[in-house]
Amino acid sequence: MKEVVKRYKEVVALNRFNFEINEGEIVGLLGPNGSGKSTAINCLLGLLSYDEGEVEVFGRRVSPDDMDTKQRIGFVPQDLSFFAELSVIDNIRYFAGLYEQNNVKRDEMVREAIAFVGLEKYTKFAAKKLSGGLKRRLNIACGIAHRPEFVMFDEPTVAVDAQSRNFILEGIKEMNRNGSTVLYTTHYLEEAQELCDRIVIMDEGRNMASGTLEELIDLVDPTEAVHLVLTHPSDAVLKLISNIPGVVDVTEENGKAVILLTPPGHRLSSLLEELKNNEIYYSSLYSELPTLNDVFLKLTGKALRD
Amino acid sequence: MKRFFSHMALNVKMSLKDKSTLFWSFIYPILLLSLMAVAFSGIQSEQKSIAVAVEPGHPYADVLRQIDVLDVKDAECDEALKLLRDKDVDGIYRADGVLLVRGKGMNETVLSEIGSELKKVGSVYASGRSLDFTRKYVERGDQEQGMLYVTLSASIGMFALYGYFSGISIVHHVQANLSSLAARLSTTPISRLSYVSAGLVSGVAMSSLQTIGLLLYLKWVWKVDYLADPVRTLLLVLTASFFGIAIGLFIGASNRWSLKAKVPLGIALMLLLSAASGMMGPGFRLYVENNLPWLNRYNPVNMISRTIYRLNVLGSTKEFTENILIFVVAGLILCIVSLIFMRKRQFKSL
Repeated sequence: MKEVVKRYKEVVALNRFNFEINEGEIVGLLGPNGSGKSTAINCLLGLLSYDEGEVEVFGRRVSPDDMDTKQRIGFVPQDLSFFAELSVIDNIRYFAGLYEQNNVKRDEMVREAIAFVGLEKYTKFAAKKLSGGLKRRLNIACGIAHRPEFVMFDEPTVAVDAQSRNFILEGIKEMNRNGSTVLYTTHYLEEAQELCDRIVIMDEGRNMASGTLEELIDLVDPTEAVHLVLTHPSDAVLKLISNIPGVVDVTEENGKAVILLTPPGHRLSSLLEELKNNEIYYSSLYSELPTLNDVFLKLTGKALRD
Repeated sequence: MKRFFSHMALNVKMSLKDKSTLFWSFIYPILLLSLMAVAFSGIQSEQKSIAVAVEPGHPYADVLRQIDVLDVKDAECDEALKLLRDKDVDGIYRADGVLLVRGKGMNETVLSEIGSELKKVGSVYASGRSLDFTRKYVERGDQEQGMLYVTLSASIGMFALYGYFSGISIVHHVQANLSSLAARLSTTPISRLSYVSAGLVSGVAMSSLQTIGLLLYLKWVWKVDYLADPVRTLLLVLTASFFGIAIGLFIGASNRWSLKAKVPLGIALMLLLSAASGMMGPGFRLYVENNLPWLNRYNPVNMISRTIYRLNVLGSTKEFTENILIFVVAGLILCIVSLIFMRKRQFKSL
């Protein structure tokens, strides 16, 4: 997507939005509700018209009449979108049949999709009778049964229990290992961190930053906060700690010394060594690495879940 | 073609597996018709003969005697009044053309309507035009059908248009800006023409099956034979079902209202048209026919109801071909306009 502008009357949903995904990647579109993630996906799918810019999939300009492109993509929408009255197998068979006319191949796809989402025990169940988590799985199965080269997931884990969520995320990783390129929108940081090769941070229709998790963290002033509970954190001890290489700041909070290290993730062992050498004893310790939320906060001035 | 049949199978399965669809399409009509049959069959037997006194010298005394629904008693003025007071008759057609009745009721309404028809004849005569004695000035209309036939045929007319709901549903499955399912289907290589055509064919089949089932039920259980002319009746039912779905397609595709608005709109419209056709009793129908005759001429429920009655009870094919053509042509126009509305695949908002 290049310089895409999408307006809903006065509201600018996509504001010169740029984004690309390479073959074989899992890319996460991360942003709060209303940041333009679904709008971006709907433009990619050719469902929404846009005011400016270019949208291409597989190197071809997106057109709602391009059946060849539609044949190669899959879409798992945020809303549950299947035929509630039909059984699990009838739903998957119908959706797979829209792409594959050979019954033998289609039925093989259906079997694979059912196994993939773990609905083997529920094939004869009416879709409307499934639990929320199982409905989500069916929603996914209908979108991926035809083995698409490029799959778009629009917040597929909203209102899903932890077990189904893990199942879904593992399934997406498996799909990617099998060759599918995945675009995944979410407002859950943990999912983006766990799943994605690259993350695009969106806010107010703009691409705020993109890159791997490490690259994004490097974009902000990166520090690792080490919380150390000391018996007597005297000023002398604090001064001693502040002289340890890599320590950029030390503060005392209720008998705890909060030590900021930079760069994050590499200095903890040397810090512990120095504490031991200086005979500084502590009763407990924990470390906080910077998160995507820190990145998001830094880039947008607000927390992701605001 | 394979996908066409796959869409058809999907539609049929959805109809058969949806309990609410099954109830409203098959169970509810049978319940309603049964209730009507129970309620109005009693009224019909009372109404079979309305006792009325006719004074000597009434210009259409002979015509009145020929109307089956009337039990005419010839009586002089005083004797007629006594009969009325003693409740032996429901009204008196006086020699001066005035109808005298005891109060307001079904029988009095029927007598009044017959009186109105006679006055029309009288005014034609008074205007100097010669009377055509080959023409029936007093039509064998609703009064003679009895309430049972009026209400049953109007109800069948309404149920024959139930395809409306299938029509709406078809559009809400393929028009991306109307539902999330439609948005999803629009991202697949689905042919909308194929989907709509398959929905139309399966919808006509299901709707016709439902109406034929009702007619068989009436014939076997209530001994009301609306299948005396089965071929023409089937043709009428098929074209009416097609027309019903076409209205649904049109209402579905022409605006972005939700299903929660379109379904009640259809129900309200059908009830209104059915009431005008006599489903709630002949009173409203008579009012419409006297004041808005064009409405009932082109009221689809009344067209079905009238034609089905004429075909099977009167053995008349009057208006049959015309009504069939109206349903087919209007249905095709609505389908084409709906497809034009549905041609758009990319939207400003979803």
